[in-house]
Formats: sequence, C-alpha cells, structure tokens
Amino acid sequence: MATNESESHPSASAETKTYSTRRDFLLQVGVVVNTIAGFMIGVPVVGYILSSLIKSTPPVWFSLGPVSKFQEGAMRMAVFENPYRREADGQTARLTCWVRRIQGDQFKVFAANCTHLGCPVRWFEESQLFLCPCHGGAFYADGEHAAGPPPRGLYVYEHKVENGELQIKAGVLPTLAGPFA
Amino acid sequence: MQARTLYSILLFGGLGFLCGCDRLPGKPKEEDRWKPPSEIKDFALLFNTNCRGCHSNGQTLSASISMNNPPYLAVVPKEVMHKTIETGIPGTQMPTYSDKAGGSLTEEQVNILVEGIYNWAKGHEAPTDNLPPYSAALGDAERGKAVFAQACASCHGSGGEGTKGKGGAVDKAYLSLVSDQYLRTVVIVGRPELGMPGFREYVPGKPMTGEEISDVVSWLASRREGPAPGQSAKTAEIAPKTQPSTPNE
Amino acid sequence: MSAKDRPITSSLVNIAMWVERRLHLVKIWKATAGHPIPKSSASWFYTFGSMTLLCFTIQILTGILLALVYVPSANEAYRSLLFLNYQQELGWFLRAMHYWGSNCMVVIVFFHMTQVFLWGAYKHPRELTWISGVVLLFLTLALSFTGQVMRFDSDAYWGIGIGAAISGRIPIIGAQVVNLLLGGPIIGSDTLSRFFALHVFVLPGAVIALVSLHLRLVLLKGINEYPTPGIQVHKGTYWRNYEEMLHKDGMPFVPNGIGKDLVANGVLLLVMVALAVFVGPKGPEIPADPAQVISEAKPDYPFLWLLSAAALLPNGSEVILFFVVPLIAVILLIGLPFFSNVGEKHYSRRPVSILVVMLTYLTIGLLTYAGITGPWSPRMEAWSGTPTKPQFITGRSPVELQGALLLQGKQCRNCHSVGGEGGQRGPDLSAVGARMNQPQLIRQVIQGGGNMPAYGNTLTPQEVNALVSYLVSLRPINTIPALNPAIPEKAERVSSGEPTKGAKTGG
Repeated sequence: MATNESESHPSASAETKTYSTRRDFLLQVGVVVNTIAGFMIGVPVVGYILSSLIKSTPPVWFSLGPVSKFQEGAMRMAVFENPYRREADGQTARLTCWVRRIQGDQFKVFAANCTHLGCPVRWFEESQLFLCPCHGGAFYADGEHAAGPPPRGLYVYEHKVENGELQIKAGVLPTLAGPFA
Repeated sequence: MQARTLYSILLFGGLGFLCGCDRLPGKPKEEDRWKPPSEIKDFALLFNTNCRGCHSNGQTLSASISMNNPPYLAVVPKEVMHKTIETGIPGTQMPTYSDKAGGSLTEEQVNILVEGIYNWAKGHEAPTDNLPPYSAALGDAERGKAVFAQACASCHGSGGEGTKGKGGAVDKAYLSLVSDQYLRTVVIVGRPELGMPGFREYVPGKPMTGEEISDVVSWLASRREGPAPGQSAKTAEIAPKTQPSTPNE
Repeated sequence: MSAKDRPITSSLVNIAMWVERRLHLVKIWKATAGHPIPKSSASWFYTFGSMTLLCFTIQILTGILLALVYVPSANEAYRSLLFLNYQQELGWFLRAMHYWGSNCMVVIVFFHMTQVFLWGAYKHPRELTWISGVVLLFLTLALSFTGQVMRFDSDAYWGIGIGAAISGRIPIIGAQVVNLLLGGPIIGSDTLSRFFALHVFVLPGAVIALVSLHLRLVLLKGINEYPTPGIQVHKGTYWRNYEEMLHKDGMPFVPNGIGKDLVANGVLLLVMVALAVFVGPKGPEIPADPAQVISEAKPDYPFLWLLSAAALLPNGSEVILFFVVPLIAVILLIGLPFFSNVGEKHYSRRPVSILVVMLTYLTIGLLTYAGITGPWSPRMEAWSGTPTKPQFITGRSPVELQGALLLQGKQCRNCHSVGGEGGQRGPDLSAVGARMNQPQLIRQVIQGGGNMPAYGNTLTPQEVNALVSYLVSLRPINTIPALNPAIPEKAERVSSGEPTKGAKTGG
C-alpha cells in the first residue's frame, strides 16, 4: 500500500479530481442501493408488525350447542372455543358468555367482559344481578347497567337458532371500540 | 486470620443456605398451588365459603339454623340434607348448589358437606326418645292455637304477636318467607343459642308430641297471608324486566 | 522483593503490559471508573443510581436463567411456571429474585429520580442526563408491566383485558390499537408472544442503550456536586467552577468514592435475597382461563396506584387518566430541566420542589394502599361465606332474622359490611338503623341509587319488609331508630360518580 501511494503521488493533482468524482459516484450509488434494499426489507417488516391490522378478523357465527342445554328462564355460563383459535392458544382459546333463555327460542347472550375495564362479570341468581369483581359494576338480568362505573350495559352477542342449535356471532374480544359496542 | 474466618463463614453459610433451601419459607408449598374450585375437597373450606354466611358451624351465631347441631341432625334425614343442598329451597334464601342446576358444587363436594355436617354430631348424639318425625302432614289449626297458648305464649305472646324482647311468630312477612317444614323443624329443635329451647322443654317435663307439633305448625300456617314460599306464581320470578320501577309510595 | 527476583511475576507483568499497550486499559479506567468526582459527591444520597444498575443487572441474569425453562406460549407458560416453582431445582428462588428485583428496581428508580430532583442535579449542564433518566423510568415501568404478563395467570390475562378495554376507549383508532396490542382478535398466544418479545428483547435492549447514554453523560458532564444553599448555577460560569472544584478537591470514583455505593448495594442485595427467601415468588395463581370467572385482576405493586385512580376518579375519566395524564407527566418531566435550568440547587432553597415530592409520594402511597385493600371491589364470596357477628343476631325477632338471611342471600354483603365484615363497596350497615328510617330504607332498597342497583324487581314486598325491619334493628343499643329523614335529599343527590364516598351517603 505504502509503495502504491508513493508511486501515484506525483500525479496527485490530476488524479484527485477523477478519484473524488468516483468517490462521490460510489457514495451516491451506495446510498441509492441501500435505500432500495432498506425499503425492500422495511416495508415487509412494517407489514409483518401491523399484520394483525391488515388481516380482517370479524366476528363469525358458530354454535353453542343444542338449545336444550339451556333451561328456560335461567342464566347459564357458556364456554366456547374461539373460532380463530390456534394450537398454541391453549386455554385462552376459550371464551365465556352468559346465555339467558327467556323462553322457547327467545335468547339473550351477553359477553362476560365488563364494559368498564373488561373484567369478567359473574351472574348471581339470587339477586338477579351481574357483578363485576374489579370495580363493582352491576348489571340487571337483561344486561342493562344497574350500578357502578360501567358506561353502558353488557355487550350483547347476536344469536340465532338453527337446527335446534343456538348460534352466536362472536370470536373477537369485546371492547368499547369493538364490533359489539 | 480475620479475613479467613470471614470467608469460611461465608462459604459454609452459603452451603448451608443451599442445603436448607427446601425448608425456606419462601419456597412455594404444594398446598398453596391453585386448584380449580371443583377440586376443593376440604370440608371446612367448603363449609366456610358456601354455608357459613347463614349457618353457624357451632362457634358463632347465625341467622339461620346452626349446622353443628346434634338435635337438628338427629331429626333431619341425610337424604333431605343432601337434596336441600343440591337444589336449594325455592322461595327461600337457601340457594341451589348443584352444578347441574346452575350452582357451584359438584356431587362429590355436596357429599363432603353432608358427611362433614353429620360428623359434627358424632359422639354428641342427641337423645332420640319421643323424637317426632322430621315431616308430617299439617294438623288441626284450632288445636294448634291451644297448644301455642300453652307451649309458646310465654315468649311469643298469647296470639303469637311477641312479647318484649322476643319476636312475634305470626309476623306476616316472616310467615310468607318460611316454609311449613321450616316452621316444623324450628319448633322441634328450637334455636337454643337464641333462647328458644327444643320440643322437650317448652313445657317443663312434658315433651311436645308429634301431633301437637303438626297442630301448632298448621295454626301458624293458617295465619299466613298468601302462599308459602315457593308454592305459587312466585312474585320474585325472573320476569323479563328492564328498568327499575319507580314506586311512589 | 522486586518483580525481577521472581520470574513468574515478571512474565505476568510482561503479559499485562503487552495487553495494556494494545487495549490502553489504564486510559479507559481513568476515563470511567477512575474518573474524578467532587469529594462532596461521595454521599449516601448519591448511591441510588448504582443501586438501580445493580437491580437491572440482577434482572438480566435471573431473566436469562428463567428463559432457559420458561415457555412463552399461552398453552405452556403456566405449566412452565409451575415447573419452575415445584420441579426445577431453585427455580422458585430465581422467580422470586426476578419478581422482587423488579419491584426493588421500580422503587429505587423512583428514589433515584427524587434525589436527583431535590438535589437539583438535572440543571445545566445535565439536562440530557435527566431526560435519558426519564425515558429509563418509563422503560422500567414498561418492563415491569410486560413482566407481569409473563406470569401468565388470570391476573395477566385480565390485566391485558383491562389494557385492551382502555385502548378501546381511544377515539377513532381504538379498535386498531386493541388489535395491535393483542396481535389478533382475542387474547391468546400471539398476545403473549409479543409481550415476551417486548419484555425479553426490545425493552432490555432499549434500557441497555439508554443506560450507556446515561452513564456516558455522567462521565462527560460530571457527577453533580453536593449542592450548597446559596450557590447559584450560572450557565456562563458553572462548568469552569466545576472543573476547578475537581482539580482542587476531586478524587477518583474508584477506589476513593465507591465505598458508600458498595455498602448500599450490598445491603440492597441482602434485602432482595431476604425477600426472595422469606416471601418467595408471586403466583402463578388462577390459570389464564377465561372460563374461570373468579378473577379480580389486580396488577403488581408498581401499578396498584393506577388501578386505584381508575376506581376512584369519576366515571368516564378513564381516557383522561390513561392518556392525557401520562402525556402531561411526560411533558412536565422532560421539560423540567428547561423550566428550571439555572439558579439554586439545594432543596432547602426550593420549597416548591419539596412540596411536589411530598404530594407525589403521598398520592402514590395512598393510592397504592387503597389498591391493596381495594375497597371498591365487591367480595364475591361474602354472601355465602362471611358470618354475621353475634351482636347482630341476638335479640332479633324471627322476621328480623329472616331479614338477616335476605341480607346474605340477596348478595347484599358482597358490597356491604356488617360489623366490619363483608364488602367495602357500599357503606357499612352496622348502624344503618340509626341513620335512615324505614321509609328511606325501603326506598333505597327498591329504587337503588348512589351506586346501588334497584332491587324493586327482585324482592317481594314481604322480603323488602323483612330486610328493612332487620336493617332498622341495626343500630347501637339504646338508640332509637332514625325518626326524621336525617339526610333526606342526599340519597338522590349523590351522583354515581364517586364509588365509595357516594355510596356512603347514598346507602
């Protein structure tokens, strides 16, 4: 290296210009190539991170089992497997709702998530109330807000009876921004 | 030298620490491990979480009948106890406990409760001579009124309206909230812890007979206005309702 | 004996010198551990920074060891925690160290910040040191929160649920934020995985980067001298004075200034080990199974005050509490060195700073205490499991006893205590008969109000009668029942806004 440098030294002034434009050129090419590559990596990365937003996961219809499972006039907890479940979800794939069979095919299905901060509400048959263990939100048997901090009544799942089976439209965590609000 | 002593203390202390860590208080114990509520098999825990709100375990008083109660357990058949815990008593505050009917306890847990409750009476069995049957048809209300005047009036007043410090037995709200069977059971075993003795002691030396008990219950039942709990178109039925009504009384 | 007499020693010295000539360790040492500090800075109050660093180191070490066993999958996480607790040799101890190390870190970061604030160390020219510290505070809290999610039990599950419910309140983009937080439509394996990635890679990486910056700034801008009341910071002269002070009255941090740090850190380590050994790890409690609707979802200590604030503030203020308040806090904290850049450093000349610290500690302390007791949470088992004290049973008539049964059976005691036992959500009923008369009680039971549901449709008239006659009997001996409406209007005036206090007057 040292010998090379000393050899090219005499013509330094002439060489510097071309050398420098070549440097500039390489710099520019380098920036352009890396920018393109950066986009090619960056866009998929952002897409990957935001994939849960891009992929649409609306509530879907599925069965809670035969209508006869639910006693008339009673409120029962129903546990169902989330339709979007994956193997690794384990127990968290289960979701809970409260089913009230008013009579015949007349039902009302409530999400178990409190409308205040999403804690699981529990039905008390004796006082005919849903109570939330977190901040004491209370709801009447028809899901209407009874007391406490929740801003509205319980989330209600759409339902229908088909072939003697109770079907509901669910599978998405209910929040105030969600599809059940 | 001092440094060497210090280091050997540290070394052996550390070794001892490692060996002793099976007994350290912070080590999670197997019994602290979470169990699903349906796996709880401990009678005391089951009783304390499900029953003690209303039924004493014999250590304190309770609004309803104490379960650590040999005279009571001598009268009530086990099957009745089992059935009562499973399905509750409609129209009263005794709720359903069987998980088959919307309650929270498994068959096995109900069995544990029944056995545990009857175990309380083991070794303290109440005398069973002259014991009236647990249930019987209602008797004659007119005769019952006379029995009441003789056996109960000293505390409850001649008409059942109550004396000072003792409650009225014919309060309309009271009678509408208790079943005939409850009245019968209470007449038989009393509430000794609250000052009401059992059927042997209302009239000193003369236990009440089964017939007298039926009569007195029938008189009390005749004073009830409206149906007994759980026997009619219940007013507390789950009528589909939305907003709380706003009574103007 | 000189080195030359011993060939081994002399060759060791040669090796050391060879390494030194290549790595220039002495130079690095002098620029870092051996950097000069003002003598006054070797104070017990100045030990919190190194203690925080110790906590973080412990977290990294125990965290790596836990990651050897922990399985970050919704299906396996709970079981791998049980394995750590019960099967893995000393797994419980490492879990406990990691848990208590995290709590200690949050507390000590907070102390460190308080000290820096009170001693005026954030002032010129150490603004950036403070700002990097503020970011580190939030990173620490984020680590603490994501760490709770790793303990994948029902607290974690419903904790994320609460996070989702709060995010769902953000106007317009709420649904998108919820989806991004959960990584899918529900709380599941994707949710745990993304919290795992944050907790194990992103956040610790960010902390390491920022700690490096923080320490670099401490070296570049010097450790704060112990402030003297009356001495002002002037932008033009401060640095010259500081360098003069170092020159005249400085000493190397190692070995002269590190003694107190070593002692404090040793004590802290012992405290952490003691907590781990005697208190042990936390949970895992109820599994993250949505079908177990028995959970209360309480966060760990560092976030209890937030839970309390959410419970105590008026309804509908959640968005303000969780988004506007933190934003203001961030602006105030980052802006602090610019609002008060020069002037007095010593706290005795800055009474407002003392007031701010006292108010902050009082607020957070009281809210945390409230969070531990959780008076706003109904006791879900009280109705069937909480007995009534004898003085509330004896001397009652049959109908009053039926009323007492109704008070249990209708779940009243989940919210109301009698004799101090039962829920604290509503007012204690031990002496309600002296406060309210029969018509008031009937109206309250039937119509509800003041955070109490209306029972008009669930109780029969006879049940109301029995219940109210028992309530009337609940009053101190020898007092008469409340005659006149003692608080006639209040019961209706109470807004549903204040959970505990409102219910106290409303009944």
